[in-house]
Parts: sequence; C-alpha cells; structure tokens
Amino acid sequence: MDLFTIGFPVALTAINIGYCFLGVFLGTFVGVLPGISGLTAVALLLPLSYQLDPTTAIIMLGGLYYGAEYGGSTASILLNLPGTASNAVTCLDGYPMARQGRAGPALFITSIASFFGAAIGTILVMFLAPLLAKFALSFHSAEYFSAMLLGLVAAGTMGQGRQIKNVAMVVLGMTFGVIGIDTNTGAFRYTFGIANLYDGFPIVILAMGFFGVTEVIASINRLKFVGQMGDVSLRSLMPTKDDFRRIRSPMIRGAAVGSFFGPLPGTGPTIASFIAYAIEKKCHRDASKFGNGAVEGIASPEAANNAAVQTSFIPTLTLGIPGSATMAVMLGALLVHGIQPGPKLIIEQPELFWGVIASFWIGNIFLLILNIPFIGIWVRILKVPYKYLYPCILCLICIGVYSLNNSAFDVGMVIIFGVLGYILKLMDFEPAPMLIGFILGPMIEENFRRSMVITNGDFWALFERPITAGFLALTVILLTWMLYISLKEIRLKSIS
Amino acid sequence: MKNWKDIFGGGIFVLLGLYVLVTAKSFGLGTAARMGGGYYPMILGAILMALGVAISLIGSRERGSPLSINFFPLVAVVAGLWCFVFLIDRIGIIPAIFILIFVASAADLERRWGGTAILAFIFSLVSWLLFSILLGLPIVGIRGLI
Repeated sequence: MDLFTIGFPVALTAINIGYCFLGVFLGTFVGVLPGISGLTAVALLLPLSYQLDPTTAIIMLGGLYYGAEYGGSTASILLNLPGTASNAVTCLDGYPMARQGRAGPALFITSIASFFGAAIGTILVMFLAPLLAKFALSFHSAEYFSAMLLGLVAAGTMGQGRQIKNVAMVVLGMTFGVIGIDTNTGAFRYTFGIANLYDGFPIVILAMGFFGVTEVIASINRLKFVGQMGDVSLRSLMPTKDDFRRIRSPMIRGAAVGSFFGPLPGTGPTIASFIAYAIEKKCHRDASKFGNGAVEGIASPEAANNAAVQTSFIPTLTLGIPGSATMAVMLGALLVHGIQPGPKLIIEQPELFWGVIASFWIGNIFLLILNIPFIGIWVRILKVPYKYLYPCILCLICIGVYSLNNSAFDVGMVIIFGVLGYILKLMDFEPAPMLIGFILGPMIEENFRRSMVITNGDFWALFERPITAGFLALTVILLTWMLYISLKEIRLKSIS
Repeated sequence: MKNWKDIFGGGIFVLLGLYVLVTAKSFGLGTAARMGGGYYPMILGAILMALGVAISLIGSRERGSPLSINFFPLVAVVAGLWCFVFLIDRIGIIPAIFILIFVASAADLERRWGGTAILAFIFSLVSWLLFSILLGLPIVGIRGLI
C-alpha cells in the first residue's frame, strides 16, 4: 500500500508533522471564531506557504481547511453563532443542547462525528482518486475543456443562493482570469497599461478582497453574541450510552451525504451539512425533537461537512478542478510552486499525493485531541471580542498581500475587490463561485483553443468524442435545469 | 417594492459585460480555428450581458428586501487600508499599521481612543518584529530609523 510505503514516511518527518499541527491548530482557531472563514484563513496563510516545500504547504493549508470544520461547531453550540458557514445547521440542535446544560456532550459528539466523517472521506480519497486519475489519463484538451465547463456550470447551479446569480459570478471570475498578456497572441488584455497587471494577478488577491475585506466590513458592529455562554468542564463532556447508540446511523448517513457532495464542484461542506440535516429529519418518525436538542441533528451534519471537505481533494488533485472555493485557492498555491494538478500527479509526485493523504490521518488525530481534552482553551478564545479581532485580520491581509511582491499596488487591488465584493454581497451575490471561475477560466480558454485547433473550428465535432459528449450533455442538462427553475420562480412570483 | 438589489446587480453585470465585449475586439478576434486574444473574452462579455439582463428582468418581477449597508465600517475600513497602501513604501510598516488600525477602529461603536492607541501600538510593533525581524521580509520598520 502506497500510503504506508510512501505517504507516512513523508508525513511523519518532523517538519511536516510540525506544519500539519500548525495547520489544524490555526484551523480550529479560526473555525471557533465567528466572522473569519476557513477560506480567509487559507488565503492569509498562503503567502507564508510560498516559502515551504509544496507538499508541506498543502499539508498545512489542508489542515487549516479541515481543522476549521471541527472548530466551527464550538461557536454554533455555545453561542448560537456559526464559526463557519458549514456549521450553521449545527446551531439548530447544538444550541438547544447547550441551553439544557448538555454543551459538553454536544461538543464531544460533534468532534467524534467530525472525525468519523473525515475518516470515511479520507478512505474514499485513497481509493477513488487513483481510479479517477487512471480514467483521466486518456483525457485530451477536448475532454479537459468539457470537464472544466461542467465544473464551472456545476459551481454556478449547485451552490447556495440563486443559481443565475452564481453563474454570473462564475463568468465574472473567468473574466478576471483574462487579465494579463495572452500567452498565445501576446495581446495585452485589460491591463490598462499597468505593468503590475501584465502577468495577471494571483488568486490570493481576489480571495483576500472578496472574502477577507468583505467579511470584516460586513461583521463590524453586527457580529453580536446572543444568549449567554456556560463553562464547559471536562467531566461534563461524556455523552450518555443512549447518545452513542443514537448517533451511530446518523453519522454514517451524514458521511455518505458529505462524500457525495464533496467532490462535486460548487457543492462544498455547507450544502452537504444542510442536506444531511434534512435527510436526518426525514429518517425519524418523530421529527418534532429536531430543533430541541436532538443529538442526531448535530451528528449527521458534522459528519457530512468533514467528509465533504476531505473528498473535495479528489477532483482537485486528480483533475485540477477544484471542488470548492477554498480548494480553488489551494490550487492557486500549487500553481505557484509550478505544480499543475492532474491525472499524472499521483504517478509523477507520489510523495506529494500520498504524503498529503497520510497527513489527513495525522491531522485528524491531532484534531480529536485538540477538540476533546483541550476544548476549554477554545471556549475561552470564543470570548475574544470582534473589535480586537478585525484589526488583526486587516493587518494580516495588508502584510500578507504586500509580502507577495513587495508591492503596495497589490494591496490596493485587494481594497478595490473588497469594495466590489461588499457591493455584490449587499445584492446577494455569492463570492465562492467566482473564485472557481477565476482559477478554471485560463485553463478552460487554453483547452478550448487547443481543441478548436484540432477540430478546425467546428464546435459540434467535440460531440464525436464520447467522454466529451457525456460531459457536455451533463452541462446542458444542468443549464436547462437552471433555466427551468428561474422561469418557474418568475411565474410563481408574478402570480402571487 | 421591486427587487432593486437584483435590478441594480444585474445592471452592474450588463455594464461590465458591455465593456468586456467592446474592448475584446481590439485584442484581435481571429477565427474559431485560430482564435485571437479577443475571441474568448468576447464570449464571456456576451454571457455576462445576457445573464445581467436576465437577473434584472427576474428582479423587476418580484418583491425584494431593502438594502442594509454597514456604511460607517465600509468607509473606515477602506480609508484605513488606503492609508496603509500610501504609507508602507514611504515611511515603513510601523506607522502604516499604526494608522491603519487607528482609522479602521473608527468604525467600532464601542471604541475608546485610549484603548485603540494601545492596540495600534502593540499591533504595529508586533507586525514589525514578526515579519521584518523574525520572518526576515524586506520591509522597513520606520524609514531612516529601523
């Protein structure tokens, strides 16, 4: 098994264990704190990761990403305020449990469920990623183009919020991706004569603006704690025997839902957790206990979001198509290191692939330790008010972006994107699909051009390739579905 | 009340798409088999416009909720960040961070200026120690001094 012969020797070096721990520690930290998302945290640490070996960088950033899913439930349970969006649904039953004096067992159960979901997700990555990579080895530009197109449309149509707006954000991201000198013709595209834009700009700048700055502006004076918080002692953590019996099947169902939605582009942990909760409600005859502190209602979504986070690595590492906006940012980190994720990654860089997977096991065990015996630390961190937090976030954004190229111009771009992001947020446009569009846009253009050269400009010739035709057909189905939903919404609204 | 959020939001996309579409011509369109630099952006611009029109149309036929702009934080945060941009290369990281925090804190309804000054002082010093000294990034503390 490559995991043991290649993966663990890489992941168990002192430096990789150290950065894995740093990643999951900081991940839990930002996960616990409401108002700062995992994506912002990954973007904040990205400049630091440029100095690391690519494997170590992905181990750390990955740890940050799945660590945030553990931490996020703490705020949901204790404050009724989700630490990250994918833990919002945990508030529904987690907070009532805390009100009943069962905050300890709730925290224990979410950690166990998270670990279970992550373990199932990681096992799936181990077995499915090599299979998918083998299948994708035969891909040419036409297949890549159609697979990425499907990914983009899926990112738009399956995310949260109104589909047509998400699709518009995807296309906006693709447009931002055009900026810079065209590698094929040498045309200066949307550079406005500014030398800093000739090579385009890294995804971190977009992510810091649309997520970091926008989040800060939207949270100041608005992020208020509701209710009061009790202290959690270690003795009160243990769930009852009955709890353990009741969470068994919800965890399995949650992990299954999460593993299904994780690899699909656009449907990340947030959607997985909401759907897992909805399914859980359907599975019980007595649905009235949900919302009143049902342990099933926290076990299933927490297993789902962690399974989704782990499985979102499958398409990213094997096809180069990010499964979520955070994965898009991480893909950007790999590209900076000169690594183009694709089907050859597992063969050409087995240390990276298996090392990262082995680090998932190590990181999740760290997280179990951090979140059960040491839960008291995180409860105390929750009491840090946002007015001390946001100056810190702003400093990290400024210095992090400035340090990329020692350029104040880059920080200026972050501000512009931050304002644009806030305006679009006010109008209910989600920024996540845009990041996926930004990272996939240039690749799609490249593969589109190449396949058009091969078919001599005949778009319909693409349908002669079976795999391509399959992807394109799925794309058309998704777009038709979006159109149908949009039209139905108009009709419903105009009748009422 | 109509859904002005979507009507305006769609409008932004229409204008952006129009700009992208019109300027794409100057990059050279080429043919489908030999695409110029403008072929792909032209497609994107057209899609942006079409989606923008659709979003506005849907918005004009339904009811919406009013905007709730977090106005003061928007101004304070943006002003603070611009201060950083203008100061970092001219006078160094310590004053740039100090002023960034001072200006951005103006947004906080519960701020006390004394506390803000202490916070700004600590953050500017820690940033300098962490990034310039510990991580060794080429950023000066205060130009001409450290």
